[in-house]
Amino acid sequence: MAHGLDFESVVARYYEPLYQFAFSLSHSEADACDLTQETFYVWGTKGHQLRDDSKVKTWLFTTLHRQFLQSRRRFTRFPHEELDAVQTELPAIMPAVARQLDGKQVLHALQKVDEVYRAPLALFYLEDTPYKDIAVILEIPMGTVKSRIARGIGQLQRLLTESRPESKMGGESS
Amino acid sequence: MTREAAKQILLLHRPWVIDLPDAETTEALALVQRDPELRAWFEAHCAVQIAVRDSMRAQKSPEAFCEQIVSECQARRRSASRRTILATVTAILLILVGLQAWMLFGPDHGDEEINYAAYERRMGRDALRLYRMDLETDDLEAIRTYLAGRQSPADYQLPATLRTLKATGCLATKWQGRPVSMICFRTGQPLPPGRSSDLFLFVINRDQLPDGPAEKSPTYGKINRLAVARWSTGGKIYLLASEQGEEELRRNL
Repeated sequence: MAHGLDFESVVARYYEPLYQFAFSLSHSEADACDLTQETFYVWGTKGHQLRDDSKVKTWLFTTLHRQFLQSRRRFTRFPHEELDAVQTELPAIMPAVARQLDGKQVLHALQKVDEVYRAPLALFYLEDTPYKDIAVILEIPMGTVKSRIARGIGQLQRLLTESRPESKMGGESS
Repeated sequence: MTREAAKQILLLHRPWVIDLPDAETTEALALVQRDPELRAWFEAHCAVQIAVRDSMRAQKSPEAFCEQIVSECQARRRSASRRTILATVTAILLILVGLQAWMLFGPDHGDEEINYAAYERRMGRDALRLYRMDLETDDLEAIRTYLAGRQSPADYQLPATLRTLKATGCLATKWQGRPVSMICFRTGQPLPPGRSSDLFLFVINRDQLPDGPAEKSPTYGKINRLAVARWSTGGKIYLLASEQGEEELRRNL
């Protein structure tokens, strides 16, 4: 175990954000529980190898993400794209629509976002994780992190507007 | 900076994260203040961002999940630890069994010298360590027949006293490829637990060990804790060994 960190205190501190991250990846409560559980088991057996206490959070999220990829047998990496190459077509959401969004609608839309964007988006929204740490957790370059988040946000906003046909996209201002 | 460029930059802006914006974001935020259309987009965008964030963060884990993680991890680690111990014990047992099998049935030591002293040491070790019999019987004729059938020395001459002792069995073995007969007896003295014999006679053909003892009368000595007597007659070399001491050997020769 990393210096000065006992197993219970690490679990108490990180189980909720890890579960949320796992849920946003798998969209299944059972899978999210399994992923979180497995991540802490790995921590319990290998956490002592971590020398720097400040890296615990990154270590846990990285491990969970790897567990997820393994569970999905998705070792094939998605192609990396630099942010400069991305031209995200953004739908314009009216402020009134934004105010009316409910949690169920958002979660439903998130489930439809392409899998490649889910992990970066989850870390973007769930944790105030700096981009460089997201890059470490997902083991991809920072430019790719930003491009995936930008594309993911674009896709998510399109899904949100499409799910409310009465609030059509447009460039209207409030 | 154009409005579209500012949107691209602000797309990655998290209104709830308080950090120092970089130069591009600072410029885009300044444009937001000057451009009403961009401001409207940015306000809507921030509202959506916060709504998405709140929805995701509202997803809670099952009740008592924290306690469940701790207890299940502890249980798994205990189980893994038991499996490790079991695997280690199994591995040790397999090694021991393999070692024992090698000592019992393996080839003779290639680096062992071929002379009488080496033969005596080896037979002494076998009598102490590898004691086992191919045939268990008190019938001396049956023993002779069995050994003959195994191409082991069988035309030996037992001293008169030995013939009066109770035989317990025999073993047809080899030393450096040379046949050796071992005949086991019981003297009547108390035996260590698990033993049925306490006197062991080894017989080898004299032509197999030219440097063996030539004396027809026994000479006495010791190999580790075994008392031994050795003599030669009728083209055979005899080695009698006992843990009961030299006196016991003398009584039986």
